[in-house]
Amino acid sequence: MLIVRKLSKSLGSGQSTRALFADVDLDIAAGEFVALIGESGSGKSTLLNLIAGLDTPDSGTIEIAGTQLTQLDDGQRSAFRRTHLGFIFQAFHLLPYLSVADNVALPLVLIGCARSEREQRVAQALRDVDLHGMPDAKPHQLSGGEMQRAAIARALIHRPRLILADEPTGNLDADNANLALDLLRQCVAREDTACLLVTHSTAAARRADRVCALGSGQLRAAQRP
Amino acid sequence: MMTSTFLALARMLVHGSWRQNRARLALSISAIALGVALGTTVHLVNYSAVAEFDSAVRSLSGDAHVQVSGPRSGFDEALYPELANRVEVAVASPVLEIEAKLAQRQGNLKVVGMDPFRALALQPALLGEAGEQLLELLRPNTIMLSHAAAQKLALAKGDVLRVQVGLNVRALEIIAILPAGETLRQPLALMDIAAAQWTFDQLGRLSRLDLRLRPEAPVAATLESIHCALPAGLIAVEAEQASAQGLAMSRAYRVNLNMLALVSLFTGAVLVFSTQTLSALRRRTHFSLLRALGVSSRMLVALLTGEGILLGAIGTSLGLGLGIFSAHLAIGYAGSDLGAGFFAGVVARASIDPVGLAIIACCGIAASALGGFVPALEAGRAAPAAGLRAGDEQRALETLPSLKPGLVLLLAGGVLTLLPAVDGLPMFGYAAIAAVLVGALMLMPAYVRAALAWLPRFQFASAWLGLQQLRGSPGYAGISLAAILVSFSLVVSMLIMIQSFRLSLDDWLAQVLPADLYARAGSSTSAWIDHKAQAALASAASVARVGYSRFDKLQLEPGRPAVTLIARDLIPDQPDALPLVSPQRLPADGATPAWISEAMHALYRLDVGDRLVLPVGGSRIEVTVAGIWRDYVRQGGTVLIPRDVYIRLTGDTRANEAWIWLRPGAAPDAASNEIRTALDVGAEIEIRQPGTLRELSLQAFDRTFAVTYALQVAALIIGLFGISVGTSAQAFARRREFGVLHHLGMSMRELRNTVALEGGVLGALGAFAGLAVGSIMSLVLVHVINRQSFHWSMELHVPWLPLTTLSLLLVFCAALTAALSIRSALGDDIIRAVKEDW
Repeated sequence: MLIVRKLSKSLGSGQSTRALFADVDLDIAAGEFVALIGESGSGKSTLLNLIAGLDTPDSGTIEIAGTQLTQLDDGQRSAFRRTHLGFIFQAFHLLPYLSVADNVALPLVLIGCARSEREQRVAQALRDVDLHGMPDAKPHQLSGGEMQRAAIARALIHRPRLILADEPTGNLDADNANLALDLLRQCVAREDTACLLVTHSTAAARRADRVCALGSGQLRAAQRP
Repeated sequence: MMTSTFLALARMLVHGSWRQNRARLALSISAIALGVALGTTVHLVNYSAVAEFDSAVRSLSGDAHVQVSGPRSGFDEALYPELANRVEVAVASPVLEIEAKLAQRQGNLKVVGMDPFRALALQPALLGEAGEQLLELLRPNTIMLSHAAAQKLALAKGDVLRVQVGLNVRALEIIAILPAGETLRQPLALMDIAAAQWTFDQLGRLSRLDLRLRPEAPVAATLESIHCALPAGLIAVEAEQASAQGLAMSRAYRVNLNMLALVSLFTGAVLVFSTQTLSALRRRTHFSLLRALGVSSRMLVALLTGEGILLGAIGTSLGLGLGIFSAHLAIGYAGSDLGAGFFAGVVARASIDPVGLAIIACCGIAASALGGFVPALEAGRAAPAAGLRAGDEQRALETLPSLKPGLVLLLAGGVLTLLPAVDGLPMFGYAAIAAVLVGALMLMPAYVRAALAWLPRFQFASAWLGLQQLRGSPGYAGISLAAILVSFSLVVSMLIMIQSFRLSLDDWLAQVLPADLYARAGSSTSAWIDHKAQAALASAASVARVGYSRFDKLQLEPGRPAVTLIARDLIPDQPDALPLVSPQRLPADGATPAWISEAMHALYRLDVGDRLVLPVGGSRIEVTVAGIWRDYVRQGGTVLIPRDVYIRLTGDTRANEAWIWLRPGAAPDAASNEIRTALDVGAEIEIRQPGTLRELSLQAFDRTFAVTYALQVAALIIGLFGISVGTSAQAFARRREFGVLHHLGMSMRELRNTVALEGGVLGALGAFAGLAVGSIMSLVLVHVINRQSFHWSMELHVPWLPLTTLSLLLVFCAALTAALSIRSALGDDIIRAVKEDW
């Protein structure tokens, strides 16, 4: 599903250029749940942004579902993201002025899904994450756990091929973190979606099928903690 | 200790916030500066005109205590020895003032005829510098010009000045050019009074008597005693009041212009309010944190209000400078009455009025302080715990304020329109407009929510998202729309009022110009059509019928502007071209009928059937009001009587104007030439067709209102600033949202489109609200403010095409402004913003 080859990225320019990582290779198959760990500043988020097409690498290639991302322009990358990728953030990032249902429906709106189908799928997604009782609530009326469940529903509603989750449990307590990861795993398995999870949490990394560690500019396979 | 803490906090908060939002800061300061600049310009132009007019009147009246004046046609000079011999009078100076028509040139020149030796005693500043040439003035056909007049007419000592008297030309030798001084800055000419009476065919006539009283004579009692002894039609006023009386005519115009400038300042204040409110909302978490750290709510309110005051002070300083500069430009370009024609002939120079400027500065700073205080109060009241929670800003934007205050203000506006003028000024009308505006502002969030609920849910992602954003934050939309609502409703109301006035004037002109040709000797007091010329005119082959009019100015009451008397040839039961607004009722008892203008009806509380005493030709005649008519020319009031009655009373057969009906088939151009030949005159008489007169009148109308267009454009720019400030303030706060949407697959272009659509929708909502509120304001302008200021009525006409075009332009500009405002926020930062906590 995701094939990354010889990916290099450096920061800064001129003499202050600092290589963040070089010649990174990464493969994730459909239905696979991979955790990416590493110290702060090791380049985890940058790698995630490159895979998402939000940043451009110095060299190397990224292929997702058969599409070479590095050959697309900004508009094409945006179109690709809205169709094939799902995102989960540490701070949830639900849009404050939209209801829970509208937040979850957002990716479907972006791909132009018909209203009736959209409503059907949103209702199902909210049932899947146990938020079917509060479609009209605004984000500020939800708890942290509820917000992250809504964010997971939003990431999966358009059936993406790859989910990129950046510290999705960073703002949650242990119970809610477990709940969110269970949910994510179930959904990934059900939809046969690949998932790359960036985390500092050993508990979260332990739930992955495979763990990769980014450090000293290299990506290596790591033991599950 | 508290002061140093406060100052340290203020420096951190204000400095930090301003540094981060330079563009928004610049817009807020510009808005206040623009509002203050407009207020300053209009005030200084008015002030300069008034100061110059006042100075001109004072230089002519000199050290006089009392001024006796009468109709424009003058009064019998026998009054002069009568008053001069009174024991209370120390010096009396007789004056004959003639608005002389210049021959072989365009325009008039004020000629002041005075006894040079009397004038030396009473008006030393006027003649003091004439020196030895004063004796030469006693020679016939000699004249002195002020420096301004010599410059204006390009004449020098020894040249000849030609003036028109009746339809004849008289030549006057210029014996001196008075030096340019502080007292005599206006273009005018001085003559010996006897020579002036002779030259202008005014033997035995005076137009004014200036009296200096003995030191022991009580001014008020003497004035009263002189006033009671005066013949009909003459009034005695304190010399100090003379200029006030002259200025009374332009007062309503000047006050209206000041009010219009104040609305611009108000628009600027609303913009500051919007900016401060959005800024306070954005910094809500920061304030809650400060509250949690121990800053009291009072200190917070003081901080934010202080920020508003500082913004106001900077904007005001810039605005004052800009205003003084543009006042100089405006006076140089459009004259001291900004093209309205109230101070024709007055050469003004921009004067600085420290008191007025201080008041404007206070208004600018107070408006900005208020703009900071209201959101500060809200921020101070907010519970710190709630403010620290994520989404608190959204909660505040979602909350709809109570509808009650807004509705009460709208109702109060309606009630205020029913109240009468205060001292001749429509103060309650202005208050009604303010109440309607503020009431509408308070109802904006509810209006936005209701209006957006009507719109369908679009499938198109940008439209869906943009509308959802506005639906979810009616408070934000209400705040962003505040400035555009104020400015656009002002523009709409002005456009409707001007259109109503213009079309009503056009209809009126069509009605008051029924003849085929109009012959006029000129607008001066020195030119007229005499009996001989009237006979020649009637005998012209192409002329079927001629009607004549004679104009005079009557002083009915001291302190009020003079009333225009029109004596016209008419058939009483079919008065030609009289646009009556009342039913006509001729007096059954054979009394003299008179038709009064709406201004007379309002100012003197006269109605059809009422009796009115007019001082005509030195005696009093009683007339009965037979009808009320619309007169768009004279604000001070007009009374029209049959000319045969006027001739019987005065023996004056001269006419100022002739209405000429041609025989069937006669061509107007050929008839004009034939009439000139019959009268043996050239440019001494103006002969015009009604179409030309209509065109000239509409041109004069457009000149009068030209300045209001400038004020409207300025208000509209400030309004668009509002959209820009709203969008850019939100742009910063929404960087994370844009980052998330970019992650989810929206391209930068789509994000810009979303924001442009939000701006466009806001513009459309503002346009609709502005159209509605502006229409209500236009009703107040047309039916209350206009009537109470100028006393004439008009029909309501809506300029649909300009309003539609302007509304579409507003929507486009709002979308463009929003898209431009968001540009800086849509950088690579939005991806990093997703990682920010707050």
